[in-house]
Amino acid sequence: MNDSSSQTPPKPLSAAALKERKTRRKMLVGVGIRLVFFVTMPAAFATGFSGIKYLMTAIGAGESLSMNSFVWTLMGLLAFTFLFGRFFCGYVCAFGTLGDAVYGLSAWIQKKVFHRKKPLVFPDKVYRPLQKVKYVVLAVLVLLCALGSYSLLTGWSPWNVFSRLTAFQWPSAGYIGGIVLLVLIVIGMACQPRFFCQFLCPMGAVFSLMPVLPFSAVTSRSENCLKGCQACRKNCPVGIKPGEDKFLDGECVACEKCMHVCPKGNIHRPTHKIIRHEWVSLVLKAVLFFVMGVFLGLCRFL
Amino acid sequence: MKYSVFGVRLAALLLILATLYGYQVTAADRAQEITRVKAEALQIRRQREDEERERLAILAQKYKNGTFEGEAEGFGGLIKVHVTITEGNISTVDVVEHSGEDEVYFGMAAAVIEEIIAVNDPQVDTVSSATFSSQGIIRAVADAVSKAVKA
Repeated sequence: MNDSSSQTPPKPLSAAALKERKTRRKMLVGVGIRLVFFVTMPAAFATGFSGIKYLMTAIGAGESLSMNSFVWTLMGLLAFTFLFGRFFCGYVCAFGTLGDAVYGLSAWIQKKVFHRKKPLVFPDKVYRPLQKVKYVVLAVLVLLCALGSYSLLTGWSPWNVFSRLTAFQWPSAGYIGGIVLLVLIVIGMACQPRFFCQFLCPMGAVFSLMPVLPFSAVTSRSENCLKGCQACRKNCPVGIKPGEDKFLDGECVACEKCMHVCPKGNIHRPTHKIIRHEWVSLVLKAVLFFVMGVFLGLCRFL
Repeated sequence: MKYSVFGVRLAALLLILATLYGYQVTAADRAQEITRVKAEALQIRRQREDEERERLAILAQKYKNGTFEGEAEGFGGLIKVHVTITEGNISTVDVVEHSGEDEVYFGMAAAVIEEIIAVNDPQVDTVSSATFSSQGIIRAVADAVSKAVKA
């Protein structure tokens, strides 16, 4: 058997191998981007939500609004999402990256230790209803702020606990509630890709309702699809088929996994016509966000 | 994103922004009114204070003059401050070390400094969403001021 394979003469790379190389390169670039943002801007998502909390608290108290650094951060995140889709969620947010890492590790353990062919995912039936839970989370938090009772939740924020850990500080004893919630969330992250982002994240709820410029969103030419093919939806961390579930498009976290799994190459981002290499487009967005983040004061080192 | 969905969402977003703008205009008017009333009240209080100036002058001299160093744990490390006391009052607070803080939170937390100087006392409320950084500043100032308290 070895002989026969060694006898085949070296050929130029096939189309499939080229695609494989392209996907691999883009995946590595994506992991690199997530790591850089995880280390430099681990609190970005909490800061953006602090902007919403500040606005709602001020409105609830009848005070006039001021443009403080929380509000600037919120506006920066929303503007970036408007222009490029939820790139922030997919590549910048430290909680999203934590979710990807936990699920990646869990899938690896499931494969190596428990010999499961396919890692765990939530069944379809509970999936869609759970995606609505984040709107309830957002509504409750916003309401508490507006009523001036947000302090009731002191010690219960898993984000607070997480941000303490990223600063290498142990959360104090008053944070038992937050620690328990964080542990539960990490368990959830191990069972479903993007568990927190799509089911619970109040900032994700805001992002998923944002308009995204149509020419920077992922689109598919579904008329060319193979009959009954669900490859994109099955591989999508938030379970959507681009362009088909039109009211769920906001769930897309811009990971672009669907582009690589589509057997017909139907799925693409219109902006990729301008920038041919997909990994270059990722790096450009990352650099743009990084510069914005430094100006907003989100970077821990600059 | 389909153009129809984009249009609906954009319209909703603009509506929210317009509402916020409308709110802001009304609230700013109200805030101006409140400031005016407060200024009047302050004037009245000043007049009364003038009458009790001597008594207050003694009360206000809470601290020894000089510059005092203080430090406390913030969000991600030590916060160090230099507190200057002139004529018995906290006159300036310089933060000389805050490398462990996230800049965006530290900027918000620094608002406590103005308040500390205004009330001449480090016992002020923390800034919400920037609790650790503002608590760090408050405790560092308290640490410095404790060295200036008259026996």
